[in-house]
Amino acid sequence: MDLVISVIIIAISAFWIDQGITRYGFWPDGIPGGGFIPVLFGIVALIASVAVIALRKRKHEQPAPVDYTAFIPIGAGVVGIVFIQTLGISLAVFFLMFLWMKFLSKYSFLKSIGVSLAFTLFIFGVFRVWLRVPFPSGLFHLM
Amino acid sequence: MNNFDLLLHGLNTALSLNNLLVAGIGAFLGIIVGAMPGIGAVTGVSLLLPMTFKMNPTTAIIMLAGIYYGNMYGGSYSAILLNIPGDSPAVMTAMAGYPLSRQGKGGKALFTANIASFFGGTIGIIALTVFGPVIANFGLKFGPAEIASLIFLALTSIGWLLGEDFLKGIIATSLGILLSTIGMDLLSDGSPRFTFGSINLLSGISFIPLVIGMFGITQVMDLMSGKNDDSLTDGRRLTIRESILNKKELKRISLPILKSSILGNFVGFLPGAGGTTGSFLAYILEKKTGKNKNMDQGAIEGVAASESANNASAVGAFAPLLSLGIPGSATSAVLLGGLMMWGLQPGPLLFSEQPDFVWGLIGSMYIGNLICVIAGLAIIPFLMSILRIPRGIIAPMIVVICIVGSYSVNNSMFDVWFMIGAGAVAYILKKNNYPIAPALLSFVLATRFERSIRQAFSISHGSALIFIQKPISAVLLALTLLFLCSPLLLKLVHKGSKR
Repeated sequence: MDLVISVIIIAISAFWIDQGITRYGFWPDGIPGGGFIPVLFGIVALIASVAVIALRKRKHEQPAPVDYTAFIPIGAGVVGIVFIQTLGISLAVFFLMFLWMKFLSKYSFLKSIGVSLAFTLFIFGVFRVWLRVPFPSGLFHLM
Repeated sequence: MNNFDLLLHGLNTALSLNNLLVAGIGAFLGIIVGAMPGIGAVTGVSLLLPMTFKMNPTTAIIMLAGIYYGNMYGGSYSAILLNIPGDSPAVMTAMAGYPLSRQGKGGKALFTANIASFFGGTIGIIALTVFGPVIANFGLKFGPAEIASLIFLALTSIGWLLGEDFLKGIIATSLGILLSTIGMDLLSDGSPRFTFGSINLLSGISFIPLVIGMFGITQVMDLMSGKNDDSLTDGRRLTIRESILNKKELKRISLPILKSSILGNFVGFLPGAGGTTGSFLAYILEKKTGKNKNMDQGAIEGVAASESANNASAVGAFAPLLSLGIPGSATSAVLLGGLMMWGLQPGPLLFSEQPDFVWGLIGSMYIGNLICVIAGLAIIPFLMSILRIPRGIIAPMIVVICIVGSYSVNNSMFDVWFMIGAGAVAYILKKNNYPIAPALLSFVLATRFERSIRQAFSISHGSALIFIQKPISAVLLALTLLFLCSPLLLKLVHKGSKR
């Protein structure tokens, strides 16, 4: 994994350096241009990543085991965004909480409904009513 | 009248029932808003500004100051309890405070945060009362070269936070700086930089979605990979007695609070340096000079350093605002807007022409600070109950707060997508021993650093000598060099003493 990450960082750094010099200008008109900082720190990141690859074999580090359950929040976040855009924020918060509690955390139906409802009201009350954050209302314009 | 008489007059103004009431309401609202990730002091003050439209200027600014103050207190709560810093200065609080929550010492961390905020604020207010206008004038001596040198010192100090793998720490720091270059280049012709044709990236990457993703989402990912369904305190019930610091612990945090408050307050006086630089430098100072060297594993000294510096810096930002009309932070820029809206012109004459207003505000800071610490200590039992919520419930709650908090910054779904992506990337990096905090800190500091260094070079027509010719800048660079060489020097001294 270290190798993959380092290669990606080298590619990103190289892109930043290239654009910094060719597009934004490193030192135009005798003063630093828009590419000054990107080039400097792109070089630092690039050299450090090459060093990580070079030293990788010497360290004999075991790759970190990947626990795929850890990515559940990412999936839930994506589902949450889709819910918000289709159902509006209040229903999205309620369904996300309920589905997670009922099917992932295995709580009873009643407890899942109760906690989800209370938390949805809290979020709606603080952010929408009090702080007037204009939440997307979704396709149905329910809230 | 001298400053002390004027302060008494100000306290008299602030202690009127009406002003006392609005200071209390402001402090309470500020704590709640500050504890909500994604809202932060700037947005909080902006959102609550309309509430003050119908008040007289003195009462209105007293309420806004209460909100501002309360925000500083509240910002640390989500950092300590959920590892989601409410704003950028709270990143350091999360680093030292959240591990304490995991060890069942969340109450002590919250208590420390409140006490440190109170003393940091008090020291800041005393400095503002006695030296405010003088130090604000000194702050004006900090031009682009001096600010660039100060932030360079802070950036090089990140090295002390890098963790076990120095190279990966350097990479994380550089990545934070590279990310900060995304957006319009306002120092050139305002042309887009690294935006990949996206309108959403024109104004750059928002810090709050980034920090929520990198801290909050990765936190839930860590929780999900845990095997049991216990709470953050592993089901143990925390009592209020456990959260109160004993004599020994109070002694442990007293020196860090004093050092950090003075440093944070000074940084607050500098226009544009901000609370993040203050709390970060204070944390580093404590890590290097304090007795507890393992602050990243959770330490009340770290919480005390970060919070006292943050609050002292928040008060410090009022000095250039009131005496020079220069906002020291983004939030004080909003307050400046408020002052002008009420027909007040900040500057040296404000102290002589509107003494009721200025000293009423300073007086209300003492009162507001006291109200905030009482409110903060009173809600510790409620906050500690959050730590007892089982993981199966707190995990979806954090995800929802992360989503809503990220959205609230710019009312943009792009920020929510970005937050989720940042969380996934940060988790993978973290699992491969890349430290996350240096990336965030360098991201915050880099924008100001780039602006200052480019302005300095523009002033000197490209000559780097400007950084040495200016005495303050030269001293700061010498300090940087000293800090960079300190491990080597210490080794040499150690070897010498062994012989």
